[in-house]
Amino acid sequence: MSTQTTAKRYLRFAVSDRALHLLLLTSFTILGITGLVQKYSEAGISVWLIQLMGGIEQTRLFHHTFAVILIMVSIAHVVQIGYRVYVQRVELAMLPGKKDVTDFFDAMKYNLRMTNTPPHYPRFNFIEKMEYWAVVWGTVLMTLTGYVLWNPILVTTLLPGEVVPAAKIAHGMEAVLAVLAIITWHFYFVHLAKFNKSIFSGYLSAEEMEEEHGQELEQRLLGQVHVPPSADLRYRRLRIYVPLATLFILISVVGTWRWLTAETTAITTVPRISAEENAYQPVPLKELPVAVEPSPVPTPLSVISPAKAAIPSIPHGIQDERSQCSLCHAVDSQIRPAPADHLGRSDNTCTTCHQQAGGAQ
Amino acid sequence: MPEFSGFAIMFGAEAMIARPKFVRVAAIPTAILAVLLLAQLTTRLAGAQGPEPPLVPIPNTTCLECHTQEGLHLTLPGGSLLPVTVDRETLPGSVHAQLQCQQCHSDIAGYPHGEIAIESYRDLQVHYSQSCANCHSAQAEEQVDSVHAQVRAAGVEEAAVCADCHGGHDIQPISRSKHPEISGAASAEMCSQCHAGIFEKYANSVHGEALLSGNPDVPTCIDCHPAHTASDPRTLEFHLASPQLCGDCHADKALMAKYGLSTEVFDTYVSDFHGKTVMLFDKTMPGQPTNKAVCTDCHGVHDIETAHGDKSMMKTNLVKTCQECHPDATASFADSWLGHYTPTLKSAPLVALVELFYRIMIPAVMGFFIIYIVIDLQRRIHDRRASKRQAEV
Repeated sequence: MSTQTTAKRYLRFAVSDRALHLLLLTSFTILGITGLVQKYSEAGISVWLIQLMGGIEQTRLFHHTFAVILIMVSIAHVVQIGYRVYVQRVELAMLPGKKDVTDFFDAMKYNLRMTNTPPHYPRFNFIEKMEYWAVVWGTVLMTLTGYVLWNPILVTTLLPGEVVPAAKIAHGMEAVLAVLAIITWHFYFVHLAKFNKSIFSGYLSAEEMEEEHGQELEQRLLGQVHVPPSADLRYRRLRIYVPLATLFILISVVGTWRWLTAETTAITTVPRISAEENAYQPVPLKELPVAVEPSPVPTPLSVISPAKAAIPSIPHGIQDERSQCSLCHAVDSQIRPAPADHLGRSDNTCTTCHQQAGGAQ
Repeated sequence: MPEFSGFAIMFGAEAMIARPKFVRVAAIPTAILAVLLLAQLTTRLAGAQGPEPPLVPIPNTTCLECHTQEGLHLTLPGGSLLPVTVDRETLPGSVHAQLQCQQCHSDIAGYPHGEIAIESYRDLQVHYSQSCANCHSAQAEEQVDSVHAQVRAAGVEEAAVCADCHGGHDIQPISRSKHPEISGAASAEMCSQCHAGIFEKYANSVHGEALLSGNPDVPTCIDCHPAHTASDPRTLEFHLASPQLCGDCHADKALMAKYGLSTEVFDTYVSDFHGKTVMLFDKTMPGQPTNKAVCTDCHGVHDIETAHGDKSMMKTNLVKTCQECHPDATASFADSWLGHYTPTLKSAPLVALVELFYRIMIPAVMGFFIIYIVIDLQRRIHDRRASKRQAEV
């Protein structure tokens, strides 16, 4: 049908933009995950993810690594913008302007069906500008608060101690805000409403241009495009810009490195277990008695104190089956039963007390 | 009568396993006969008394016929002296009042008693503690992995066995959680028999002072080191899990309200760097070393003091405590610790303001985004339907 229009592609993002977006996407996602699992560390999924990443120390190492990558992306972006501003002298299309305010109201009017003419958006519409500046603000804030958390001792030599917990709160809550903004604003406009692949492919179709950047399309069709500087001019500007940019990169990278190594916050030796003193410190035991006298021969009480009932003597021999006293004299037997308190005494104890009557057979 | 320790009294009856000098009758034929008769008697009694007869039903009065005699003792093979006189009132006054001597001294049957083969007094104590398992199998099982059992297995013969804490003939329960009439101080003093140094520290701590002056709300030794299951408190597992232990009481609202203590201590700890790391180590890799502080690293272990004392001294101490792990820490760095309290506009205005800012900012931004998206979405749906209708026409 409209092969003509779909075939026509409009360059939207340079390779450097696409590369930086990829790095930003990766570091943001990993920072978000590794950070939020720390903020919400009690949730089951956080514990699971931390375990998956190899523990909390490993998770923090990932977080720190990708924090550095994000800082590098930011440095690269500044260099890139500097190049566009100084060398190419392009218009700063991301700066917010009056048109963004009118575009917002026009969009509202259109969406609320008060008009049927959609706003005519420039190269970057207010939706994109809001997101871009939110990312800039977020990155700066996260970098600063991250620095406080990374070097708390150094920071508190200059600022009051309260800055550290404040930075921690800000770092965590800004992260929540940023992730929520990406999930709502970003996902809706570039994935759900219309899947906009230009940040990966670099190009938009004419229809997409018409809908999202109508004003830019119009200007392009009219030939009102930015004219790149002549090779000579470009060369002269580069001679100034390259050293400046190099210096900036150098300072930033060295600064970042110094940041990483600014202080040794805590001891690294593990484990720090409170050394308890010797646990076994017995109270001296009372001395066991020393045998002064030889032990008396154990004699049953009933023998010692004849006040108790006289102990019947055994009037018969105790050989063979007659040695089994309880066969006849059990507590419940009929033949001279043993008293009730003898219940359970074994036969071999009988003769301890009961002596055989003199010479009985 | 010489003064015996509880153990000596308990194990005194041991002497019934006689040494040759006690033998009065020709032993061997009598012993054989005794075994035969005993078997018969046991069967008879079993029939009479139901399924679970006492092990060897010789009444205690029979044993006491001899064992109340003063000065009875024997010499163990290892050379030490074993007193075997038993106080008549001790067992009836204990929780084992209903038990027969032979239920514990099951290896003594009849008289004269058999030869005693156990070398030393301590070995005998350990030997007879094994008979506790006959009735208290659950407790015997749970103490198998305890620190006392562990060090015993490693060859420390002083390591406590049942009778060391519960006593012998004078056997008593110790746990106040199961026996409310028992004071925590009594059990702590039991522990102090072997852990005198730690007990002394504990006795001067905020917990110990209160306990010893009769306050039942504070932890005694076995509340943190449960007697039967006590794991080795020197292990990393114990270290990592220790905040939970403190939290058991310090997050108890009713209990803490009595003393005007904050119950936020545990939550504020867990939400901060140290607690977060320790909790995560505990959950994901227990036993892995970490140097992050647990409660006891700052507050002390057995010598815990009140955190409501002299403010300036506390601050000096705090910096010192920080420096144990953060050698470069300054007073200003120590200020970054908000002291287990949720920040308020009064206590930590900057922190409270930042939080307030985001508490407004996040819902406001998200509210705007969502409202805008919903309005945008309904227009898109409307447009799509309109173009479909147009296509149909």
